[in-house]
Amino acid sequence: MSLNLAAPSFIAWQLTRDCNLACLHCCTDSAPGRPFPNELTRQESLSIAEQIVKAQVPYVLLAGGEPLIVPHFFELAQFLGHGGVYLKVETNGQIFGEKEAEKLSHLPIRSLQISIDGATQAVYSKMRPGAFLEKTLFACRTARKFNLPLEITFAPTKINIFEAEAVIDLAASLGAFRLNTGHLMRLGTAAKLWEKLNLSPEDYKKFYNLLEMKEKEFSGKMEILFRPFSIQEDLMAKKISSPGTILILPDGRVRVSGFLPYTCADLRQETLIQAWEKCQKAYQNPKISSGFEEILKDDFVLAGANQLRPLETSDLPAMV
Amino acid sequence: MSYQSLIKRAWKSGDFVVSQDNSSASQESSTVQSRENVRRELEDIIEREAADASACLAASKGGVMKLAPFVKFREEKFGAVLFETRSEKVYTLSPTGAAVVREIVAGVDSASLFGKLKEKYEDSTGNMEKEAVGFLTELKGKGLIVE
Repeated sequence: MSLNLAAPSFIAWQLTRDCNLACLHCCTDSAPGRPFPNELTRQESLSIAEQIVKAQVPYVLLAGGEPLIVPHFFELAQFLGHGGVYLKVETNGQIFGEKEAEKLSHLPIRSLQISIDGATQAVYSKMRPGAFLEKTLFACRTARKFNLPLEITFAPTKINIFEAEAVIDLAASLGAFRLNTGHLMRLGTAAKLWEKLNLSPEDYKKFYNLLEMKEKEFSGKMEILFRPFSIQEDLMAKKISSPGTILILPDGRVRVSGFLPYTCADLRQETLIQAWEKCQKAYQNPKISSGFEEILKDDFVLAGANQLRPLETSDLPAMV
Repeated sequence: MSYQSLIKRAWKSGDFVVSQDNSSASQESSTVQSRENVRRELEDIIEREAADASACLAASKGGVMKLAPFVKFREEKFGAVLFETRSEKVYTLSPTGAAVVREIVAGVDSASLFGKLKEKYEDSTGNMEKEAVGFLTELKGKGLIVE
């Protein structure tokens, strides 16, 4: 059901594709030195932020790549936060310390989401080559010290599944309000390494059982969010309709869905509200419903989801 | 005077005195420095606390309702929407629901809510109050408003 909202209820804003890590399971193909060719400037980003505030969008996710390496990240977060927008920030926690936490503590942060993909340095650094678990744990503790709501994500793979329970316990001991997990998404780098990373159906079943058990154990203390468990379940739950959300790419294009290879607007050329209207109309395009149906049949098609192209004008993938 | 200014004035009035040892000039200088640091830290804490002070004061008055933390309200053509940003749930409101929440956002207390609604909207069927009562119960049940 489409709500016919005047503006989005949620904006996921990928500020950059550049990252300080190159994680095996990355769904956005991010890595050091891999920004989009023409990412938004500070001025362009602030102009979009101004439109977000004006449209009373209640909630914005700032993500990447690694959003903290964007030079105007804090300026943008402050502009949105002071404009009354609630914020969620996704970071790998490698460059998050007291200075960063203190700045965010003055803003309406609803979730600071940090990924912990292993409970030991050995496993963590296999998933995130070159990364230090201790830095991530320091980021989590610092976030809590400054009363920031901490959310932990865990992406299950063959490399780290045997530490899943330890990560959940660790998240609780760090004071996280939520642990967010589910089936590994067949997107980006993870899709390229799918056979090496993806669990067997039996292992997913065991993992699901563990999550149900942990959900009971931590009831009232930490939410364990794992339903819908997979992209397919998510699509079935939403009945393929306009979701009230838009996804802004680092170069200002607007993506119809994180699971489909289509863009439907460009915030360098159009206003946020015009882009929002185009997004809603996009869901009437048969390519969208057939795209989702293909994913429901076989998630292999997700592997090409980051080969973006305009929905209306061409079927040729753009090289990005 | 804002809550923040009030607390800053309390600090400046000398209510918070850090004892000093005047045995040497350098010690005095270091004590002054330390007082400056304490003051800066306190002012930072005040700034953080003051951000939510108005909402806390309003909520402490008996019977005053307010949107729960993490909930945002936006008017729409069809009525309005409430966004629960923590669970990322969206609730659509009819024009009557929107009218109720508009009053809550404006800081009305529960005793005068229905009077305010009757002043502003025609209620030929007399159902408005009944609908509003049911709606308020639902909002509280879902944790979208607090009293």
